[in-house]
Amino acid sequence: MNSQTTRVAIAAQSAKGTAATTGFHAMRLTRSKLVPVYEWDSPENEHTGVHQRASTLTGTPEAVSFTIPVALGGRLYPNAFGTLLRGLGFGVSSVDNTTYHTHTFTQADAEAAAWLSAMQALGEDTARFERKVKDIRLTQLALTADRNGINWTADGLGLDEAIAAGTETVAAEANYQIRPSKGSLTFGALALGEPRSHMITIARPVEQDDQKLHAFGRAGADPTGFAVTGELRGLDLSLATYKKYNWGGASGTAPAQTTITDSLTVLWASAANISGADVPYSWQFAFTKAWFYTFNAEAQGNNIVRCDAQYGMIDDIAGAPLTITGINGVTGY
Amino acid sequence: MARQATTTTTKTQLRFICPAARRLSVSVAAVNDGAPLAYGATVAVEAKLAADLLATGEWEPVAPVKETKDDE
Repeated sequence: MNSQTTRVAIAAQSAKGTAATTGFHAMRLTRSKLVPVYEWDSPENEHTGVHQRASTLTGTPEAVSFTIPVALGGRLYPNAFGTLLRGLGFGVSSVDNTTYHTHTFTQADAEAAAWLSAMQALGEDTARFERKVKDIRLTQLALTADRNGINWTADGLGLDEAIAAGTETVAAEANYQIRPSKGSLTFGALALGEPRSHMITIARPVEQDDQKLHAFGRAGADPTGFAVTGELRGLDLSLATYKKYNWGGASGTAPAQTTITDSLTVLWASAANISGADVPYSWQFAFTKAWFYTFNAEAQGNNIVRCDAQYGMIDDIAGAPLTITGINGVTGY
Repeated sequence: MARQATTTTTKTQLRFICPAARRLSVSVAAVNDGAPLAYGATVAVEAKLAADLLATGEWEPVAPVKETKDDE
């Protein structure tokens, strides 16, 4: 089977245990893997009483449980990315702007975090088969933007699977990449300038081994944290930047114990506007408060000396510490 | 003159009313060979499939259609 014929589509479920039947978004991916992994009770080194040979495995292993690890990766496009965010524990509110829609994603209550269904169709024509994995929660999303493009990978955990019904509604992805050359990066006050590459990692660990007795599969995947970190690579290096990052401000004169915090908003958009609208497709990540920690600058060989800055989201305010905003033609997630 | 046998198959006519189809190219694997469907498009499908489609809430029944074929 040729990988190029693969179709993966994802949708948020209405409830745990109920696979989605509508609202699937086909994804433009470069990689997808949704295969069950079984755990085994392997009876090794038993006194079998059947023979007296020194074999290690003397009984038949039996499966004790299974999960379906989910690994997806591709370029950043306008539509399906919103469903990924739902799977990462974001809630969404959508507004109809007539010619486009605006979706605002903020961290949902852990108990209310959505479950996803994902369908993977492999093969063509009569060889084609499509499975539907349900009760998926994503555990990590890593986004990397450099001058060539914006790529992401997502990992997660599914609890069960079945053959797809074939009656699921699947919407095609918009054929517009979100380009790193578009949009902007805005600090509150730190003003370090634009980096040459930017990584954002959302880690949302879940309990992975929750299994009750009298059941073969996992019982759930409760969230056990939510952390967002980022790295700005290849910032222009100046004394002012150095002081701001390391000495507590542009007027600093020595290493400062003060933690550098600031707001940070990064927006990426498509090169073309949404058909019939006067705005492009876009995704925006707005951190209300982030702390900036590791600073890295190295002079080596004939390289241009630049600096890398790492930051992390701080959640110490009543409002949302991270708001992700998507603009596209999707009605809702 | 030989009398021709007549078989009648009853299909259910459904109209696609998925809200997403208003703005996006939407497809359903079991219908229309998986080709994109427009909002308001109608298809004639077998009763079993019609029941499955109606359960999604994205289709509404139009009217039953009798297709009459003359067998040789």
